[in-house]
Amino acid sequence: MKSVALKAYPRSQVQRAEVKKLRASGRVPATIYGRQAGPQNLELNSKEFADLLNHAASENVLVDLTVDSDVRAKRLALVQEIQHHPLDGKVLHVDFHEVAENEKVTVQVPVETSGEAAGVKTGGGTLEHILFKLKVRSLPKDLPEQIVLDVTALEIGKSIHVGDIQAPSGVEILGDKHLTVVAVSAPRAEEEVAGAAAATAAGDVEMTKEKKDEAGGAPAAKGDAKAAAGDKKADAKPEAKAEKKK
Amino acid sequence: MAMQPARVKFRKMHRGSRTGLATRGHTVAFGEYGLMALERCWMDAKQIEAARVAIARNMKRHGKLWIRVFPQKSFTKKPLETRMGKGKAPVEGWVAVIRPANVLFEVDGVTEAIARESMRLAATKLPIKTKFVSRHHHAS
Repeated sequence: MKSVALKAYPRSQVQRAEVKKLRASGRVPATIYGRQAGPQNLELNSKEFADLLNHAASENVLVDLTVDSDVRAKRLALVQEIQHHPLDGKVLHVDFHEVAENEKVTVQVPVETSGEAAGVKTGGGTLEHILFKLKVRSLPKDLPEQIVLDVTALEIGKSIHVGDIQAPSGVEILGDKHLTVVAVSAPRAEEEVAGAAAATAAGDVEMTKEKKDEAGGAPAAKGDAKAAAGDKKADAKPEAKAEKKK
Repeated sequence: MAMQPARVKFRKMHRGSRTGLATRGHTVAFGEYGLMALERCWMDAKQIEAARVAIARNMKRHGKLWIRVFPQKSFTKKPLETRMGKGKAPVEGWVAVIRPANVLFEVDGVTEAIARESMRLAATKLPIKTKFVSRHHHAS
C-alpha cells in the first residue's frame, strides 16, 4: 500500500460544543496515537480527507501525516477508525495509528469478489458473501487495500475458505482457516419459498408471564375493593358533616 | 401473514420515545445493498410484509433478502363509540419502531439495477421516505 500525503493541524478543542463548531467550519477532529509518541489531538481539512477516501479502495489508508509545528516532518500512520454520521455518512472523527516502517501491523482488510461464478451463470445459484473482512498481518508497505477473490470457477455447492486464499507476498492471513468466505448456494425451490412465507404465519401471541399475571390479578382485585370502600367513606363523610352542622 | 412475536412477557406496552437517530442497525451488515429509513415511524407488520413481497417479486427468486426490522411492539386501539377510561384497550397490532438511519431491508446476489428497482418498489409500500444504500459507498 502506497502512503498518501495528508496535512493535519494540532487541535486544542476537545469539548462537544467546540468540536461541533470545528466541524461546522470545515474541519474534522482526529487523533493520532502509537508506540513512538503519546496521543495527540489533530484536525484535518474535511474536503481534503473526503477526497482521499473517495480515491481509496477501502478505508484502510496509509498516510504520511504532516502535522503543523511538529518536530518530526512526517509521521507514517494507518487510518485505524473512521466515525461516520449514521444518516448522511459525513466523517465525524478519524483515528490514526502511528506505525513504524519496519514493524508488522495487524489490520482488517475488506474482501471483494471478481467475475461471475459458474454456478450463478449456468446453474442459477446465488453467490453468498459470508466474510466481508479478513485479518492480515504484514509490514505497512505490503498491506493490501483489499483482497480480491476470483469466483469465476465456483460451481454450485462449492465455496472458498480462508485457507484457500493466496495471500499477497509479505502478507499473512490470520484467523480460522476453515471459515467460509464466499459460497455458491443452489437456487431455492418453489416449495422452500412458500415454506418461508408460511413460517411467518402465526396465531395469537403467547405470554410467558401469563400465570404470574393471573396471580397478580388477585391483589389488583383487593385494591379495587379498597378503592370502592374508600369511595363509600368519601360519600359518607359529607353527610356526617352536614348532620354536625345541623 | 404478517410478522409478530411468538412469545412476549407483557402483552401491552407503553408508547415509548422514538426521538433521535438509529444508533444500531444503521449499516448494511449482511447483503450488498439496502434500504435506509430517512424518517421516523411506527412501521406495522402489514407494511413490512407488503415491502417484502414487493422485493421478492421483483427479484424473481434470485438473490437473497434480509428483513432488518421486526415488529416487537404492540399497540392498542379502543373500540368505536366507547367512552374514555375503563383501562387500556385490547391489542390491535404489532409495529417496529423506526428511526432515521435504520436499515430496513438488505439484498445480495442481484445486480445493482435489480436491487435499486426492488428497493424502489418496496419504498412505495412504506409510510416514510427512504434511500438506497450500498455497502461500498457510505450512506452519503
